[in-house]
Amino acid sequence: MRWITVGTVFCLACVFSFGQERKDAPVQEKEDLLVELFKMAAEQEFIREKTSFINLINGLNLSKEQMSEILKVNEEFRAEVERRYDELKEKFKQAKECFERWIEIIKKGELPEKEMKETQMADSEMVKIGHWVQSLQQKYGEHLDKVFTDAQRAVIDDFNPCIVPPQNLRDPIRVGQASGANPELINGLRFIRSLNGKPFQQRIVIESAVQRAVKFETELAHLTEEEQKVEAERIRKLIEKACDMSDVDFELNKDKLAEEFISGSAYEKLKKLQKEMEKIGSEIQKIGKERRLRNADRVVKYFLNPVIVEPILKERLGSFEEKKSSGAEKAGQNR
Amino acid sequence: MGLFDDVPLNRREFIKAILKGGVAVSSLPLALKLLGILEEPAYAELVQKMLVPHSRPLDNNRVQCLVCPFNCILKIKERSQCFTKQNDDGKLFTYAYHNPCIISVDPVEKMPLHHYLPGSQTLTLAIGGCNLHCLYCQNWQQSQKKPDELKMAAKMDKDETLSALKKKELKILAFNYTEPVVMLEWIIELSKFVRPKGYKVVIGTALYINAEPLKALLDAVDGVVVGLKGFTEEFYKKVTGGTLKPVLDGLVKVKEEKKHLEVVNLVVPTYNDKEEDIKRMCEWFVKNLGAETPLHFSRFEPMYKLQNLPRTPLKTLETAHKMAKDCGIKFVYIDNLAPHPANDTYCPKCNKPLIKRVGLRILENSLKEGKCSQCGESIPGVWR
Repeated sequence: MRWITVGTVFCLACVFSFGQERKDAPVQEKEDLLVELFKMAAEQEFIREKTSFINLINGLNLSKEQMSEILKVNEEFRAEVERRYDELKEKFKQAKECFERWIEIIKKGELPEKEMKETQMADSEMVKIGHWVQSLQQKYGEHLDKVFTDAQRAVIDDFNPCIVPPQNLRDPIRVGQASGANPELINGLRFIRSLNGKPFQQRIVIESAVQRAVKFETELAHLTEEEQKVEAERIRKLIEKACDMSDVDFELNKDKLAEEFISGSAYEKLKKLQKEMEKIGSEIQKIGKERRLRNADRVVKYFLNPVIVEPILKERLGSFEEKKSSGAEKAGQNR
Repeated sequence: MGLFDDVPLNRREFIKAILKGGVAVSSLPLALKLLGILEEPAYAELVQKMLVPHSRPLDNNRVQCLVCPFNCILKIKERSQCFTKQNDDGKLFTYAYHNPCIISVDPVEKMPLHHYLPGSQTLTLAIGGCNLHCLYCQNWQQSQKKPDELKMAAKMDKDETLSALKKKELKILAFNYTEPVVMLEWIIELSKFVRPKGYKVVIGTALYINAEPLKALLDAVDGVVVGLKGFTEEFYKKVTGGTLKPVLDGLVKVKEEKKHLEVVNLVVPTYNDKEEDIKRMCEWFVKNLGAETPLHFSRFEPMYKLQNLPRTPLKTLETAHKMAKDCGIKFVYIDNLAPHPANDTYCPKCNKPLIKRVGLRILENSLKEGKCSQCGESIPGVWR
């Protein structure tokens, strides 16, 4: 009987512990999955940055000399940072230990004077490192800024990070080519205008166009219902304006209409706002105490990143050399 | 069991159903038309035509067009090489008249004109049709069609054209994208009307035209951009369907007439990118058109019937640019590739960049009344 009791308790304990394990396991797994996903997202972000950088340099038509110069600046930047590697590593380690201790202390709701001072010191060390990196960025950013021509700088200023290069880099308007910017949009407006004598059919097409445009924008800019209504009205009015124009007026103003259609969209407004914020941010940096990044900030953003820049430019410069040597070989053969 | 076994259908009902179906089918086009699904009536009915002065009658009601070196001989109802002229009852008519398929407001840099009122905009018009049939044509949808086959953007007679120029406050009327030579009569009519009012007229052309109509055309325009497509007869025959000599003669004529001239050479990989041909072209250029005439090397983009080729490599364009400079041509540009230092205008004396461009956009223009702001060297062109 006693063995039966012991056996039963043992089985129950096993089942219980198994249940406990099952109950705990998903929590543990979930945490791991989340960390894994974050890591994957970070990796993906790195690849995006790399892709974007390639798109940008493809659109800049950099010369071999410019590429060599950018590479040189990045290598110098890397070398200067790495010279302080041991010292910085030690400081990061100390700061980490200090912050971890501080966490345990504040968890208890305590604020001891000594530890507080230590933590503040560690934090200010970290801020100092940040400032040092910024001053390096300024120094090398100025070098980098001189590498580019005015036209290249104009392209860099207009560039938005991307996976697929935008129209102006992918397929710019060419001399002597009839079609201008936004041909699909203009053709769409032309089609709606061609229904001018058929109000019923035209209305159906306009409403469908408005709905599609608003849906597209809502996906991009997360419009609220109210915003969607306003946007629908704006697009509807714009299309109606295009329909009311004479043939000549429409042809003369088609690019402007298309521009209005796009630039007035909520998504474009958001993009503009974002750029303005970026500008304001750099203005603040310019005039504030932390006068670290100046005009060169976009150049620094894209071109002072040894981890991305160095391998890509080295590969490009390598292919330059290869072409050169194969050209020389060919020339030798011809001779 | 058949599908319709349960359907009670006697002979009378069967005939009734057939009749109903017939009515429905026969009224379908009307219904579609009412719903607007069927196409508009043929556009050709709206097209105006005009007698071509550069022509001569031949026997058997045939007529010969004398506008371009093809000198087409046409039977009744036959169309010319360029799709625009037709023999109607023994007389030659052009169907390229008042009916542009393209009306647009573009930067003058799109012609491309780099020494002609930089930063200005043009009212650009084009009617369908072209006498050449370039395998790489970037506007083939318009140039390789009859003008009356294309949808007219809007009727543009002289009053409409003037009103459009005024409305958009434009100073330049341009004819580009298709071939101005095939709409010569219309250009002359519009030009005679707008030029006395202070407007400029410019054209972008392959200049495949006979001497007499060329004289008439040059009398009507202020500036000419010529696409010198290659420098061998073989290239012209193979790629454009025309010949080189009339183009070279025409270029000399433009220079003689003291019209503003800029020349564009589209560099097509494996077709006209041989260094010896480019060198010969540049030497001819300096000798016949002068070192001060701007020359543009344009990047080829796979188009139309030459989609199997790659874009012109940057190195090829840079080599061509260097060869032209070495030959002594003072203003050499690379087009359709931006940003590039060869998009800019430099002073030939002190090498200061005078007009900085990125693509068709002007970033900075430091010319002072047509002169270099640094050394005072006079730069050829129309600057105001």
